[in-house]
Amino acid sequence: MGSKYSIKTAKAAPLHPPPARYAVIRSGDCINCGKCDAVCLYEVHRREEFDPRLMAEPVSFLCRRCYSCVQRCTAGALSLSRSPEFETLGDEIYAPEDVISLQEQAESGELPVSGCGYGGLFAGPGFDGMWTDMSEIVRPTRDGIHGREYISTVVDLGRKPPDVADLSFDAHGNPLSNIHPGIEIKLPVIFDRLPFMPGGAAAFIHPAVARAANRLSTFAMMDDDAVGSELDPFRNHLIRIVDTARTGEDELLDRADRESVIALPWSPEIMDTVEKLKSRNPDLIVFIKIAVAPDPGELTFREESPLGKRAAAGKAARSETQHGRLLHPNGGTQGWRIDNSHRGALRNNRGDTFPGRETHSAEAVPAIVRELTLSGAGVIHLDVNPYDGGFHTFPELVRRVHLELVEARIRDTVSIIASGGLSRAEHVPKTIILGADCVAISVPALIALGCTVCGKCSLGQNCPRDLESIDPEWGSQRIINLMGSWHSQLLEILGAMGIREVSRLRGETGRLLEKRDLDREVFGEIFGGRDR
Amino acid sequence: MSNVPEKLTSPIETLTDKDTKERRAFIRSISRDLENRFTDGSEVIEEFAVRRLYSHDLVDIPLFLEKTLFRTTPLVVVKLRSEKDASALLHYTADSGIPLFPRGIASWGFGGAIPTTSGIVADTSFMQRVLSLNGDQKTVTVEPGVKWGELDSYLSERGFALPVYPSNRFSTVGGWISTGGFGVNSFKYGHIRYWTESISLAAPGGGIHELESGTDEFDTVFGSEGQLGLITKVELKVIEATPYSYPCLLHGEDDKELFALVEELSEKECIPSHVLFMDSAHARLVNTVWLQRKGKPGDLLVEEKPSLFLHFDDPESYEKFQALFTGTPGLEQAPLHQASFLWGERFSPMKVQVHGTSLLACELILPPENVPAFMERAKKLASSLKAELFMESHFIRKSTGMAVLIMPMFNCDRRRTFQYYIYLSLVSMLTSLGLRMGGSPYGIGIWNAPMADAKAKEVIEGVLAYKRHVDPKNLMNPGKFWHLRSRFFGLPARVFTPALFKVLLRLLIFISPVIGVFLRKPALPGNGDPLKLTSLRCTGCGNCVTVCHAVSATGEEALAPRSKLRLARKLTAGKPVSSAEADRAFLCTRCGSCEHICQGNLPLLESWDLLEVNLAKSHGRPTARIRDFVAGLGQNEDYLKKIGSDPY
Repeated sequence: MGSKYSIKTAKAAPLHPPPARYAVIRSGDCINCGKCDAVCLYEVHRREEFDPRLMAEPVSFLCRRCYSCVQRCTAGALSLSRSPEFETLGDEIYAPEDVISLQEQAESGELPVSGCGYGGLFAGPGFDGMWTDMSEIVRPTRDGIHGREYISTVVDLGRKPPDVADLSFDAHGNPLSNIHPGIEIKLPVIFDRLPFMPGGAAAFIHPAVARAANRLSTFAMMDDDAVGSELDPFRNHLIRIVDTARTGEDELLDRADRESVIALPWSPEIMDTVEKLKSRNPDLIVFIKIAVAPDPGELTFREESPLGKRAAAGKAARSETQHGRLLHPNGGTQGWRIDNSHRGALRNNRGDTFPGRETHSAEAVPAIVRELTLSGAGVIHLDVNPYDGGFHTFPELVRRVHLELVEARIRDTVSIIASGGLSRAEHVPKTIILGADCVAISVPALIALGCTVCGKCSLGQNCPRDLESIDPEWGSQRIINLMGSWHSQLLEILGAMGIREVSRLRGETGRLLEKRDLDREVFGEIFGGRDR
Repeated sequence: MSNVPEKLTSPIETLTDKDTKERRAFIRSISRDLENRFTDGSEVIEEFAVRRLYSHDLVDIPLFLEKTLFRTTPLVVVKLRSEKDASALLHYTADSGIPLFPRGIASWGFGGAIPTTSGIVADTSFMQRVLSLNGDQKTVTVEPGVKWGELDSYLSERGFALPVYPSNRFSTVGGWISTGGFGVNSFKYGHIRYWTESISLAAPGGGIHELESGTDEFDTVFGSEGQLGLITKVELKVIEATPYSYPCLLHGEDDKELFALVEELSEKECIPSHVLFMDSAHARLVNTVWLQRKGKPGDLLVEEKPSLFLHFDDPESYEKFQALFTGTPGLEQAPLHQASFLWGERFSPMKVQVHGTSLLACELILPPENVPAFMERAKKLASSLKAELFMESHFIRKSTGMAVLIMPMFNCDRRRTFQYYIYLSLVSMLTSLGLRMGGSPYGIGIWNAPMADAKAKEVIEGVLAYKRHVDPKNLMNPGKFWHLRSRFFGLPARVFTPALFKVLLRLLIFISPVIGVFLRKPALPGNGDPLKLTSLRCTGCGNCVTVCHAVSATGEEALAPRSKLRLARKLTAGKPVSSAEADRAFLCTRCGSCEHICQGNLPLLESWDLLEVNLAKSHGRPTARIRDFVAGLGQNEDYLKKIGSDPY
């Protein structure tokens, strides 16, 4: 074991005052007595720099809603309400609270503190219906999560031999079996391709993300053509996704000789390509990114069929049907489509920035993963579009893929990366418990830089948070801070579960309490075994 | 008393009141002596600029008069904190022979609190404790500096109320007893004298005289304007708080009809607590004031007719009144909201200063039957001098029967010196007119000294007799209504001797139409330097002094808005300002209380910014001092008491 992995966080102030949860309003009745300044623990209230006799405008974003100032104001001049700005933050996946919390973590690198406890529901759909079992709190010990007890968050990506028993050696003790080189990441989080970005921002944001990936010893995925020379120093920490439509097979094979990882988007023809690449270079790690969209439970038709035309006309605005081709007329609510859009889909009202090209069977995802694995793919990225319910059905997909591979006894020959709107640190261990090796995030990295998911860039408007011109060094520190916070939270959870390596958490569903199961267990008899 | 010179004459007196070396040394010695005698934290102020603030009340003494007549800048100002210290001060007064001028918050305009000769000003406004409340006897004992508004709040929290109180909620108990005594609810409850149980009076020599109601000495204190001693404690009678309040506004066709109605009310025993007569000019003024603050042009709040405002505080009288007068021909009852508005306005008589830059007024007590005639003639006289008169007439109950306390007010422009002098004499002309119509001056002070003989002779003699007993050396507020003291061997004061003054006044009244030719109508506050304008428009009513947080925190009147506007006046007139004065002007919490309470609706917060910009240019900004001032607020007991907070 080398030196202990630690993330060097450093305070990185936001470019703009961060959005506020609560609006602290000072009315004209204020007498500038300064009592609010004295009683506020969070420095919301301060006197003006230029004239200490006056109270400055309250710094609302620092407010933790303790109401101390409101209650003790001598003039009854203060009031507190939900900030109107707060409601406009984020979207249905990245909740306002998440946006603020992510930004705070990116600023400080410390654990998020809500100040007045958890105020939400205790159960919900998707991840919110899952709790981790922390009944084995035996470690971390007296010196805390960063103390002597080392909890490893290292994950190996790539093909691994199926079983130690299958290894064979020659007379000199050299392995006869082909041990494929893998890649090691120190944190089970890699940065996905960013789904949206204000115009021109890539020149600043890509270096920030790449730099962060480098320092965190993990990877950042980027489109092959987006990687310019400015990213050269970080090349070893980039996964470049090749555009198969523009790259010929010969060129791919050439690259297979030179490179250790080749990342390709999934397409029906990809199996052949994988096999060819692997036969050209058996040590090559083939990385396949499968874009998955939730099946809204409706039939998806081929464009050429009469029915399809009608459906397309009725839902012209929906990108996924515009290019729809019926592959799987089964509309289960738990279904997924493989959405082979090159860039993954965003919410429709953001404009059809990234239209889908082809859609593929949903139920087929686990099978496709199995086939890919058998054909030699080393890393498979399940890139789930979280919108339209994708986020809540995502855990089930991960579970099914994992179980499919386990049943086929090939789970260890492939690494599964899962992404689909993960927005909190707790989503990382939950996704891993369900069967992924590691997760990929994209929007949280943008939020760390100050993005509030307002969607203006998708409409061609200027970024209100000035993401077009960030300093890459500052940006990388913000992302590192966020990951520092997530790392600490991951250690807390692992420590509380008594698990010392994150790789051991994979598929550990014994650590998962699901509301669905608990309901059945507790209320099943009362409600006649109804599956709730 | 080794440090006190035998004689208080030439070496320390200077023409301009400026401090010479000798004078400063003398002041120092007084200050040291007093500080040695005080045990309860009373302070002595030596700073010239601050002492200057104690040389005026509501009305500015024109410089010419000040230079020729009086020596208004006190030697020192003492901020008294307790009866014991007051007694010590009076002991010193007798020992040293230095005259003493008692002062409340100087919200009266007749010069009663203005020093007439070198002496000590005793500021009693910091003796502001309510000492005890006797619920069974229904009495409350207070120190003289307690403000009527604060006392009212204190009592109402405990289920009691003041029967009668002045229109200025921020005036002091001691001040009102010494000068006025008639106020809100005086129609039903009469003079404050009937509602006072006892008074403690510290007389020169330091002895405390306990005066009980019913004695002759007791009666002499009321309206004695501080010439007998320093009031140190007052026991007031209170009444149980009543939930009943029925304001009512009646419009009539002519003045006489409404006056007759008041007579009738008394006869029929439905007694309103408060009765105010408004002529149509007054009603128009109410509308103007209201429009300036709230309404849209063209709106009218009250009908511009002769009106009678009544307030009843018991349901029986009100019902009786309604039964008797509803439907009387020629009488029209205004909607309740108008009456309620006027009742709320009872504390802001000076709001009328909406045009012109300053306000002058006189106060007279007239027999009701002569009021309409007086109003007519007064208006005529005023209009010959191009002044517009607004008259507030309160019906009051005297021991001798019903009377009217009438306050003719008019705007003037302080920036026009000639006009200002003429208008100052118009005050005397109006008073003299009232006296000839059977009236008497409400108070004397300086300006009414020539009319002092119009006060009932026996009253004056009573006061004089008692004064000879308690203050034989005439050290208490000397030079007021019996014999003005003045400079230059008293020659200028001769003008103020009743015989000569009256002749002069008559002459002035006679030639007033001729003078009027040379006068311009007081202009509306025009454009120009906004700071200057605001500073000129201040009536000096003193409401801001009491509400000012900086004054509470420091106990310095010099920080009060009223004082800062005087500083602004000095500054905009190009007069020199000391750096101590300049620095002090920055000690403000910007709480906005002054602007809130200002009767003149002056843009004070804006003025402070302008004043500070001007001062910063010439004297720099005292950054460290401001910071220390602000930093100390959270532990400042007086400030915390003001804002109702624990230390922080």
